Amino acid sequence: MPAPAPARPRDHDVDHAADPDETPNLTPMPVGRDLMAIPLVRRALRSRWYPRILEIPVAAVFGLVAYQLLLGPDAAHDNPGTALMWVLWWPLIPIVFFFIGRFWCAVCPFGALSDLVQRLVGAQRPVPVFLKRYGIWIIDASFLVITWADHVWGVVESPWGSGVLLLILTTAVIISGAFFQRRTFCRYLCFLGGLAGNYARVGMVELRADSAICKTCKARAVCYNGNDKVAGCPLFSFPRTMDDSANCSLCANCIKSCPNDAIQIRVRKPASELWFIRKPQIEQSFLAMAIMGIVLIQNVTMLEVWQDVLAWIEATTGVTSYPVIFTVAFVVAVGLPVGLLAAASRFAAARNLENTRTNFARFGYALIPLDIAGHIAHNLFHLLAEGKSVFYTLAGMFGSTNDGASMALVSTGTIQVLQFGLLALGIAGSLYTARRIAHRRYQTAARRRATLLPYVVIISLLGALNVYFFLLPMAMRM
Amino acid sequence: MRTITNDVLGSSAARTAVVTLGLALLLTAGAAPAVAFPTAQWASIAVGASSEPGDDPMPAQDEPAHDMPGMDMPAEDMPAEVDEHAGGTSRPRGLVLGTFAGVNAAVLLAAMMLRHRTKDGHDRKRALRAAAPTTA
Repeated sequence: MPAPAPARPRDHDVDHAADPDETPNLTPMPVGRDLMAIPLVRRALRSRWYPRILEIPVAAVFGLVAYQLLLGPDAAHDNPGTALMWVLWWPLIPIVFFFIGRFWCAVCPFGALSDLVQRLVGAQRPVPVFLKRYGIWIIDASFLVITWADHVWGVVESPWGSGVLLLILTTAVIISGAFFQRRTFCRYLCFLGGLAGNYARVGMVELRADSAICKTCKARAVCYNGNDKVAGCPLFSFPRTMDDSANCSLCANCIKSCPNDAIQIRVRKPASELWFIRKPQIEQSFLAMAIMGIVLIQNVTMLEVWQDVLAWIEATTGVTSYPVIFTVAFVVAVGLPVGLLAAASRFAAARNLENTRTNFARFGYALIPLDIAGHIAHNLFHLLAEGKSVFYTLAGMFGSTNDGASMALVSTGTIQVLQFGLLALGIAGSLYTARRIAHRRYQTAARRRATLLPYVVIISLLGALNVYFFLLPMAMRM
Repeated sequence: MRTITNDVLGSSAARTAVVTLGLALLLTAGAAPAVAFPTAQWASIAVGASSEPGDDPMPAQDEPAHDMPGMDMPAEDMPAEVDEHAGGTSRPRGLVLGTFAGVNAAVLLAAMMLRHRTKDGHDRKRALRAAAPTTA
């Protein structure tokens, strides 16, 4: 007869010595208002024209951007492709993520291209296991490599460089669409998709299935597999079990295919998903830290003082190679948030019940609100200080000249007020998120405090660093 | 139930080949005039290096960043000798676009062949299963 299994601490219902923090709080996220109850939203999302009606104009603009980048003016400040891509689209995209999650992915021309290639020649191979296992690390690495390459080879400032980047991404999308199922590239390889997934967790809208209805469903996961009229989920998400928004593009395929009307689009408190995550992933936390580092290095290299730093490094070390100096600065900038989170996690691990790795994974999500605030604040400068360049470069296609007119939409003072407002929201959001994560995980006040303290310190440090950088004058992109 | 696989298997090989070759021709044809296109407008600035005060100052590899002209001033304030319309830099447009078209055409053809081989394999298995005697 086998020996009985040893009792776990939570099995000792009457044992008052059992640690109440052994079991985290697992109450589900409160259900927000269902936007599907609004007839207009319901009709729009169930329409066969959604999201195609939006894909077409986006693809047309993408075509114009690609054409201009590759065959248009070589100077960035004359090129409408550069203005549309880096002054308009890139600054707006994190704002879109904040409000409606990964919606951009539903109308992204790369996704549409992948679908088209698949329809024509797709071999429909299953996603390789290594992509499933390490895809997010590939996204992390590619994000860092692209940012590094941008600085070393001047991708953003060079229309040709941006055009070549588009060609490389297009090739990757075509390869993925030609050989693998659904939108493998978007789910497992796209660096913007990784960023979108990270930020979508802060988003104010979520797509979820009504679990009570799904329990009675006999439709054999039609929301995942699709039916005669609608394709399956392009991002390989199963709405019935989906508990985060990282891999939902709001394409509405599941809404159209569900025979029970079980899919809901709910409004929620911004960032609330971050403290309801059941299985935090270290690679997602690493990505959040890498994005923080990228925003820091973008800010540093935009500062006028950066030139003085370069001169100082040259005078001190004798190193004159910009790629070498930048690579060192890049490693330091990305390593700083990662190192701070690791140090805070180690400190917390000594005082709570989880190891450093688990603390790193769990509390890395708390930095995402500051991430997104810093990112939007940085891009706000490009959008508002150079916004008119979009109009002038487009007008330039028809022979108009701007005669040295200002590119700014608003004054520098207004931009700074908005930036600091955003940063204040980001810092507050991160502190609040860290607090909610700690309170959800631990029930005792002492352990909550001890866990929270190091994260409050690093959020304050990174927030202060961002504020300091935004106080200094910056150079423009166009 | 219609899945993505079923969607895809409906198209003909001939149509695919035409589309693939069309895409390759279109892209290569687009690349040809681009070689002679008067694109070279930047003056004495290395390929991939910015002449502008972008947020990511990008000097040529062998020069210190602060030595690059126009690195720390707005574009409209740049002196005439670094104006981007003054001279020329050639871009390997034909080579890059040709490679892009060639690689993608090869990918599309390879995928098309793989799909037909897979489809043939499935058809053969289905036929064998239908021909096999039942064990009742």
